[in-house]
This record gives sequence, C-alpha cells and structure tokens, in this order.
Amino acid sequence: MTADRVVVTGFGVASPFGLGIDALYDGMLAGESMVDELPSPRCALSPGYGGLVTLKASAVRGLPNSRDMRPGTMTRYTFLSTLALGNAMEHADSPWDDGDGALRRGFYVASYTNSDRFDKYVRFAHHVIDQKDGTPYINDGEVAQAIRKFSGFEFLKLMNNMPTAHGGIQGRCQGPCNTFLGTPSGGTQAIGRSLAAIQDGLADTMYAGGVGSSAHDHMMMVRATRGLSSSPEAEPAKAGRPFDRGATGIVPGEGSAVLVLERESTARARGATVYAELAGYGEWFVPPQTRESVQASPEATVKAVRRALTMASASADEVDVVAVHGESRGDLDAIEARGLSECLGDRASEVPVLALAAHTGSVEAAVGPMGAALVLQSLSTGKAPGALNRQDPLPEYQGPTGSNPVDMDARLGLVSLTTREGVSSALVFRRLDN
Amino acid sequence: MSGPRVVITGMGVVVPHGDDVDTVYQRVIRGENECGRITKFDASTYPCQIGSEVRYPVSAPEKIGPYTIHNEALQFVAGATDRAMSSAGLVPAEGEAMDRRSVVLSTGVGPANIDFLGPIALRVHGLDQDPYKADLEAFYGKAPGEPEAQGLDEFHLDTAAPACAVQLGAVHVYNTASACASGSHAIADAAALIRRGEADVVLAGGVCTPVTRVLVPGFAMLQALSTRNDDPEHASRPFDKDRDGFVMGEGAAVMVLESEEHARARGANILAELAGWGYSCDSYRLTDPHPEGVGMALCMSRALESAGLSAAAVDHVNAHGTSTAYNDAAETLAIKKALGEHAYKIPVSSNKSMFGHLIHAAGSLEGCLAVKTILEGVVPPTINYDTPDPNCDLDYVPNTAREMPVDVILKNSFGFGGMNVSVVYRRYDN
Repeated sequence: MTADRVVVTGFGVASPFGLGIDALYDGMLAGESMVDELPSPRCALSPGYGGLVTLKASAVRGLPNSRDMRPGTMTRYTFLSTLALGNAMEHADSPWDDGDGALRRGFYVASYTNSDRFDKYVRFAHHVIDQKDGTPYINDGEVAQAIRKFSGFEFLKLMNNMPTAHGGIQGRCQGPCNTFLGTPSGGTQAIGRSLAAIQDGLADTMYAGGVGSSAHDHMMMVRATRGLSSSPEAEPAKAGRPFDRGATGIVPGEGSAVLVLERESTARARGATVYAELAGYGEWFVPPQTRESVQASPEATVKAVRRALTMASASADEVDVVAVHGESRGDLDAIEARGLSECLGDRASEVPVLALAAHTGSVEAAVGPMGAALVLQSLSTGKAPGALNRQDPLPEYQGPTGSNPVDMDARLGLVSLTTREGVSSALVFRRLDN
Repeated sequence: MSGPRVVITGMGVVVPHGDDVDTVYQRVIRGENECGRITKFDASTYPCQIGSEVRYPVSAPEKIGPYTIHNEALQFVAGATDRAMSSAGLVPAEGEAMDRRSVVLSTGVGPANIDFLGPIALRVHGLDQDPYKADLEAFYGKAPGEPEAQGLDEFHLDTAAPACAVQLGAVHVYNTASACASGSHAIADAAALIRRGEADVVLAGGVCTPVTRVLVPGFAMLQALSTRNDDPEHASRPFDKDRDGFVMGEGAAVMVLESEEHARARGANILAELAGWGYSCDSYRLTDPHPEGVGMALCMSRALESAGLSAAAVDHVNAHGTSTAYNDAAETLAIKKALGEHAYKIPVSSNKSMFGHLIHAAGSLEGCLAVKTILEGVVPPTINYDTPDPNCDLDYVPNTAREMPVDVILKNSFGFGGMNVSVVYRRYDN
C-alpha cells in the first residue's frame, strides 16, 4: 500500500438547487427547501411532491462527449450521475486525456437501483396481459409484437452498471470501474473503496460518488407499499423533517455527487487545489429486526464511525461537522440519532448536523457523497448550514436545532449514515492547508 | 500489492447443470449441454426462444434472519451460499469473529420482470381510463407481503447480499455490479479485502435470473442473443465461425475466500490460490468491446502482474467466450496481446458453450470450474466448435475435454460498458 495520502481535489453536485456545490450549499445556508409539488404524471403518486433536478445535459461543460448524453440511452440514475461527474471534473480541473492518465483513472459510483420507468413496464404489460377463467396471465403471443415498441437501449440502459459505464466512457477511465447497489450507504462505500483502490496502487485518480432518484414512479410505489412515504397531507417544503417528531416518512428527491480523489503526489504534481484529505472510512452491517423495520440498536453506526475515526487517527472530540442520512422517518431517525449521540458524546449538542432530506428529499445512494461535498464545502468556508424543519426534535436527537448557519474553524468533517437496509457507513475528511 | 495470500476453501452453485460443483464440473468436462428451448414461459413467438434454465427443485432456506427467500434469485444464491459454507466447513460466525467476515455479491435480480403486473393490470383491463394511473392506485394500500407488493421487490437488489451476510455471519457487505464481469469482479474485490487485511473470510460471487419475458427479447433486440431457435443445443458456440450470439442463463455461484493463515489455522481444505487480479475499463462504447481488445488485454496483463507471474506461466485461459461475433474476436486478439506467442501454446476454452451466459454469475461459476480444472487436471471443452473462424485462431479445446496438468489459469470476464476483470487461479502449494 502507498504511504501517499489520498486527497479530494474537486467535487461535483447535481441537485434540485442546480449544478454545482455552490447552488446546493447556498440554498441550504439560506434555509431553503426545493421540495415542491411534482409535475404530471408523478403528481398522482403518493405523496405528490418531491425534489426534482431540472438540469439538462447541456448544463455540463466538463465532459469530453456531452453530446453522447442522450436520454434514450440513460436512466435517470445514469443521467444524474454523469452530470455530477462532469461537474466534478470541471471543479477539479481534472484532465480527461487518453494517455497514461486514463490508465490510472477509475470510477466507482453507487445507485440504489437503476430502474426508473415503471410506467413503460405497466403499459407494456397492458399489451400482453390477458385472463383465462378469471386468472391473469401473460399472453406470450403478444410479447413479440409489443416489444417492438421499444428500442434495444431501453433494456441495455436498465443494467445496473450503466451509471459506471457511461461515466467510464465520459471520464476516460481505463482503471477500475464498478457500481455499488442496494443501500443509501452505497455512495460512501464507493468513496471508501476508491480510497482503497488508490492506496492499493490500482489508480492515481478515482471519481467516486453516488446517485439517487427516488422521485420516480417505481421508487414512489415501493415506498408506498411499504408504508414508508411521507404524508400527502404535508406541506411540501416542510415535509422533509429529519430527526423531528413531525416527520411522516420519506420525501421523494433526486441528486448526485461525485468526488475527485487523487493520490496526493499526483494532485500536487499537477498543481491541483487540495480541499481535504480523505482520512478515514468505515462500514458495518447489522440486519434490521424485520424486513419492514429497522435495527434494534445503533451498533452498526457506532462501529462504522469509530472505524473511520481510527483509520483517520482522529477522535470524536475533533469532529467539527457531520453530514448524516436523516431519512425523515421516525424509526430510523431515532436509531441514527442514538448512534450520533453515542459517537459524539458531550459534543453531540454542538456539532452541526447536515441533513439533506429537508432540502432536497431523499437522494438514496447520493446522500453520502452529497453530504461529503457539503462537509468539504463547510470545511473550506468555515460555515455550516443550519437545521431545517427540526423545531421539535425526537427525544433521541441531541444535536443542534437552530436554523441559522454556524461559523466555525472546522478541520475535521464526518459523514455518517444509518440505513434501513442495515448498512451503516462513515467517512472522515481532514482539511489540509495548502 | 503485498499482503496475505488468498486461498479458496469453498464453492457453491445453483446453476443449470446442477447444484453441486463436482457434478457440474463432471458434466461440463463431458461436454454436456444445458441450453435449450425456454420452458419458463411460452417463448414460441419470441425472436429468441433459447435459454439455460435451472430446471430442478432448488433446496434453499425459506427464511434467513429477517429476509424471506421469496423469489428464484434469492433461492439460488441462498442455496449456493449454503453449499459453499458447507464445502468450506464453515458455520455462521458470532461475536467478534463476524468483524473478520465480509460478503461481496453481484446481483442481477431479474429487473423488468413483468409477470407480477398481471394481477394488477387485470383489475383495470378494458376500463376506460388511464391504465397506468389505475395500476398505480391499485398498488397503494398493499401490505408488503401481498403478491403485488412483493412483486415490486423483484426489481430490488437490497436483500440478496444482506441475506448472504446473515448466512455467513458477516458484518461487512457490498453489493456490486459490472454487468457480465460482475461475478469475477466480486471475487477480485473480495480477494482485495483479504490482501488488505480487512477480512479473513469473504463470500463472493454472483446471482442472476435474466431468463424473463422482457430481458430475453430485449437483449435479442440488441442482437446479443443467438436466434438459432430450431437448434438450441448448438446455439452457444463460442469462437466458432457461425456463432450468432449468446444464450441467456440463470443461476448463482459463490466462493469462500480466506487468508491462507486463517484457512490453515482452522485446518481448512485449501482448494486453490487466488493469486492475482486485474481490472480495466474500455472507455469505448456501451455495447461493443474495443475492437482491438485494448481494455481486455490490459486487465489480463494487470492480473498477471498482480500475481507476480509472466505470461509463460499461464497453462490455460478460461475465456469469457460469449459466442458473440465481437466479443470472441476481440478476446482472441486481447489474449494474443497479453500473452504474446504463448497464447498459441495453451488451451483457451469457453464454458459458456455448455450453459450459456449467466451474466452476473458467469464469472463466479466459471471461476469455480477453473478451480476444479486445477484440481482434476482436465480442461473443459468448447463444445459446438465446428468451423474455425480466421479471426479466432487459438486452441479452443474443440468439443472434447483435455487431460493435462494445470497449475495456473487466467480467467477472463468482460461486461457491457467495457468493464473488464481477469483473475489468476493457481494450484495451492504450501
């Protein structure tokens, strides 16, 4: 393993606030929520509101082949992750040459799933479903006819690795590329394993992040059937309420973030701006008690955070700001809050706790990478956004509830996620003085 | 990258040829084919009517921790994990030992499976309203256990890897995907965890259930599948001049990887060493490999470098060998690039000729067969090889298995989107 540190030289964000970290960060500093009523046909789905990214492919100028970002070849997940990648490359002034640099560059990205157009399957099903003696069945004789309404890319683009595949092409990555799935911790896992890839000598530069798009019909239905959705009665801008007693459930949202991680010597050699060191990573899994519930204790979160701090040779006392999952559903938020209190101890009441869900809705696997971008920005500016929609906190929550931004001389930032799937994860960033 | 040696101590499969590795290997070296006409549904009007299916009752737990094993994909991988742990002589870890165990699983759990939409769509079939909106409304209020709600889980990927972690007694779990390279990718990532000292035991592999009404015609539209519908037994014909695409297959295959020290300390039967691995991305196109096999050659070279071996040390290449025109030609070129003249001296065979392409589970199944090849000294054949292709000019072990000593196997796995992984399996020598 290399003794070189791994540093962050850029971070890209696509959020309902727009493209780039400044749009997201400034919106959160201002205490704004981008959760609003959804356009048709999604407005018909519970809860009828969410945070949507409204960017077009032309918003990104950092990619070598932006013209290849054809919606017909991409799911929403792929589109958003590619936007964030382009923004990250631009932010880091990261070259996309085809030479030796490409050989030493990789891309890990997380996507909870990659299936976003349930309406197409349903309409397809209506073409081919019949019934016999009151029992529904698929009329296979109709399938061949119905399938002609689609192009081959409709199927290819559903493959789980497509966010990585597009990014690997757009980012000119010929090193390790992989997709992490199935949990909101996937984004932090992608960043953590990217750290390992650089340490192991597999790459000098890794683009690493995650994407979430829970404001589409498929995920909204999944949540509705599991009783996890926020109430349709809630006022959209106040619906996302992490750690608040008034939270009613998960608010649909969208977003993506990608960090540019580099071996420090590589970054210094090209004169890159170094924002921070990625100093620690940890993850831990404890299964939920039942498929429909959450873990019994915050053990996974506590162990993930402690592992990340140990790797960073840091203590909880040094943590200046933390970005969390903050799902906005009482059962998971209570566990996450208990974990935070246990990790931060006496400082739990003063360390700013950044929770995206109040501002953008649930961004699934992007919550870690977007949280990381916010932590990095807070470390750079010395100012952390205040809490939004957290006026009546859960008893388990010991953190700040004030809505005003917090000035600080921050050096150490933590990302800590507790997830419904049971996979907790943590990242530690240490500000470096160039 | 230095670190502990990584060894293989267990393997488990639920695949078309059977549910134990020994049986599968014996059938494979006999050249027995499992590709046939699809039986899961009536595919007679489909452009592609061929698949490689698990056609026997699968023995698997019904419930693992909080997870109900309610669909085929979960049954396949739960069954394979049971068998792998049994083969490795492992029981679920408890307490602090769980911290030294991980799961890296690649899942392709039959997305776009429309079957479950039947009951929902029927409710509104023929009604004079927007069927989509009506369907959505019909979903609301469904309890999680009801078939329609459970059907939504078919799309989801969040159960298989955690369930395996409960089976193993692990507190670290990764669910990854790199398309057709996934199975080998998971195994390589697992080995890296051990090499880095993060784990002593890792269960790794893949599961896939792509023989569905949507994915089979969908991939046929991409011209990736064979449409030799009147002759399914001969449809998968890697490296043959008349190949016309791959055959979609289903199943699960996992391995137990351990640090050598851990395996020896518990007296485990070490099957082989996982000596090295390499990754690359073509960064070229979504559907086609680089025509000169640049990315493929790169990951083979990286794998050999990682193993500290020269090309001359390779005894056999277990090819990705999908039976598509592009892949097989590009892979042939890439093997020659990576191994030089040595490429012409060693057997290169494609197991997919017998069971098609298990997508996310392909690399892990073929990895298990590579380990068996080292142990048994019989290289599986590439069946259905009748007509040589001038673009594929290596020794593909045509139609008949070959007895020979094999110490080092280079296993290739390449995926859509240009994801490439090569793994080096080596005879264990203590």
